[in-house]
Amino acid sequence: MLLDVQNLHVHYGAIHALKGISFNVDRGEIVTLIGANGAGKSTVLRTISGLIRPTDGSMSYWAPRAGGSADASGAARQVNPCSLPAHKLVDLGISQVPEGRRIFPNLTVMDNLELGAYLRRDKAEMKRDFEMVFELFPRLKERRAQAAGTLSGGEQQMLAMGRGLMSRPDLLLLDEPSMGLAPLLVKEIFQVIVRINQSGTAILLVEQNASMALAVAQRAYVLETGSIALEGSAAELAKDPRVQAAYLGSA
Amino acid sequence: MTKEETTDAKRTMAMAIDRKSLARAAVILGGLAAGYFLVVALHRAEILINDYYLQILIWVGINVIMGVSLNLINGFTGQFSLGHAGFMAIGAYVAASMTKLMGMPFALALLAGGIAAAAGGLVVGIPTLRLAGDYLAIATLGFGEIIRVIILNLDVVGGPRGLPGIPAHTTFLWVYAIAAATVVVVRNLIWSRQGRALVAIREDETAAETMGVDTTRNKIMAFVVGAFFAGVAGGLYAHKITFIDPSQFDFMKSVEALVIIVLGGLGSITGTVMAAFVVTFLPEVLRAFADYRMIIYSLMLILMMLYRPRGLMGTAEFSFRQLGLADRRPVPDKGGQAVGRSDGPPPVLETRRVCMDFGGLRAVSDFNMTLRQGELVGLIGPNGAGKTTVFNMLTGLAEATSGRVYFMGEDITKRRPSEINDMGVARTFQNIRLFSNLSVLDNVRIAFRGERPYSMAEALLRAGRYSPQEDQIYRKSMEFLRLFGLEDRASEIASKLPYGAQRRLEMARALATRPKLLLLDEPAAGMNPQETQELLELIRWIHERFDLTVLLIEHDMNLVMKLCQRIIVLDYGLTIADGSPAEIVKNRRVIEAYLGEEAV
Repeated sequence: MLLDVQNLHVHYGAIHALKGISFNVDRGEIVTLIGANGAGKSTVLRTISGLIRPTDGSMSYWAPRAGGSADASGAARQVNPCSLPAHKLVDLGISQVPEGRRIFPNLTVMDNLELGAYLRRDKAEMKRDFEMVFELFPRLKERRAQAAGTLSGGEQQMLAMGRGLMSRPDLLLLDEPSMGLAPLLVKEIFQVIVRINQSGTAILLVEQNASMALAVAQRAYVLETGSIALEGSAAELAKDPRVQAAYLGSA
Repeated sequence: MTKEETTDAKRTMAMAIDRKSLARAAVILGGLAAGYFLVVALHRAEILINDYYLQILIWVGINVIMGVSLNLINGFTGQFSLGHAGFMAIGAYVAASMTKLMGMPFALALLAGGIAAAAGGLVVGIPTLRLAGDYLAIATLGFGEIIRVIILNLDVVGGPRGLPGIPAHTTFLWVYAIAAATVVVVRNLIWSRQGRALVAIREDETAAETMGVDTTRNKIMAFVVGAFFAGVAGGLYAHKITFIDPSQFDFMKSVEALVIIVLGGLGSITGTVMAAFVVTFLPEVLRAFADYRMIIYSLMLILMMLYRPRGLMGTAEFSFRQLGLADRRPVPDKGGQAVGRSDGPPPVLETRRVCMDFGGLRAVSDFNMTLRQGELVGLIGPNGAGKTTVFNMLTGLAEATSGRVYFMGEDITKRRPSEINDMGVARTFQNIRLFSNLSVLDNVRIAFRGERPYSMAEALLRAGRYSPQEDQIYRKSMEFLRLFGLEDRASEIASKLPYGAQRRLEMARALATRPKLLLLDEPAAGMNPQETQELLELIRWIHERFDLTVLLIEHDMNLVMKLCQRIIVLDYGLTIADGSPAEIVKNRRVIEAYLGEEAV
């Protein structure tokens, strides 16, 4: 187990956004959360990454590293993400690629990636990771000296994902990575997601493109107005008539 | 209803509203008069208010005028100005010279001081308001210093020695009446068409432009009105202190006004008035601590800001609504409206060999397109192909490097976004640009314009066409919200809406400007299949209902294929295909560049 969430509640003022949801992510897994707009998917991600504090419930995260530089011993340390600020969680291996990209528009592509590795001191390894990002996204290499704000929407999404990878996360939180991308690029992004996962990173994926998400994920949860309505293996859910009607546009 | 009946109904309603607004005016005036007499009576009877406190109240009043007028510029319009003392100095010197040197009456002197300061505001505003943020702050700071240095070298008014012996005309009544008038005028301005435009500029200048708000003009207007009141405050100040010299109007004076509005809440008149009391009284109350007075004062300010980082009031206001004296607009009636007109099927939009270069990069190259009346056209292509750039050139946000854009036969290549919107082009944005801190209703109201909009004078006095038009804007805006299923959320803050509702609101806002041509930039982004299906029906419906020509950028091929009559495909700035959906899916180049092999 990598992340275990029990009975999570989140309120925005009077609005009860998450109504006691429980789920988990295993090491090396791709888990997807699907659901309508306003169901609370992004809220889940933002709570795990420490940007929002839950009003109730518990989270356990078994950090494969003890914090600071990557630790090869593999000794997991259990922490409660709710008790730590967002920047500490990055150090423990949780990295979020936010909805709407949130890149630094006036900095260059390279600067953006370097900020993704802000907490790292291992220069040599970092260099290898830059190469890894450029290999995943060759477009970024071409444009590395360009201000990120001048990139097209798709390139910005690639940059946001590349930046998220630069902290070498054990758990990558992806919030709608295919949003606003051309059909060809959507396929590319999902291929990259699979490749990132194959290198050992667990991924919690929030997507509107449910058919693609279910195709790459091992397990899935369906979120409806702040509660988990369905859960199971991605293959099962893809066949579920309820999911097909609501989220797959009954293809 | 026949036309006659409608106008009759309108007239009756207008009269009813007029009666209501008269009643409100009476309540306000009565309340203000009662406030004044209360203070005077308390002073006479020496309860709570002695001579000393009455003096302080005069300073409070002057600070209220300074604060409220600066808040109009900084808080409501979002233009960071640091030169308010400069306007105050102009007002003080002009008014003092007129009474002392020319023996003019006080009222006339105050008015002249205000007008002189307003003229100063116009002179500074025109060049500097093109700047934004920090740059504007520095420019206005420079302006304040220039005024001070000019006066320093002006011998007629005493130069550095100052101007002594100014008649002590400023009484509590003068200050009270003018402070009250400032509050009422600025409040009336904020709650009008013009005021909404100012707040829109603060929230998102680009979006405001595309909603038809002439941002430069409105910013200058706010600057001039703010400067006028600062000038009047200067006149009151001079005739209170009876001796002025340039050092009184230094940078610290501007900072004082800034402290008041930040403490009170940028964008809250009520907060400004409260803060004016706090900032004026606090140092007096702390006199007992002698030398430590200013340290304690500063610490208290820091503490207040720590606990109320958005100021005492944030952007909230005291309102009659809270007292139950609501200025209730009638509930909108059901029923259709006639929007849009049709004049045959001529080309609505035409681009001729439009190019756009960014540095050495050609983002759009020789783009030719003709949209005919009533067409529903899709613009697709890989990310970075130049689709949004095309939208920006059509709406005036970017100027084509070469080539021409014609809308209804008129060349709009070099027009401003607000002008193009006025002519009938509205758009939405890829990454949604709502006025996010404003209510859903206000987002639509900003966009709404009547045929002959009421003037600023009418807004300030709440007279003439103000009430009937505001009422109409309210009803029409609510109607738009109903069409988009948002009427129940009218009073919610736009940024709190779920994503899909924000997209719908942005479309409602664009339609409220009564466009002939609607440009939608990725309306289905972030929507699931079910929501996309609803969107498809919505676009189809508004296309018909409002007799629109629609051009949309979208990656959801399902939506594009079902919705569009014609599709244009861009790749690396070049048009690689233009045809019906059936032709496009079979097009080799489109498949290679965009759709991918097994798509659709």
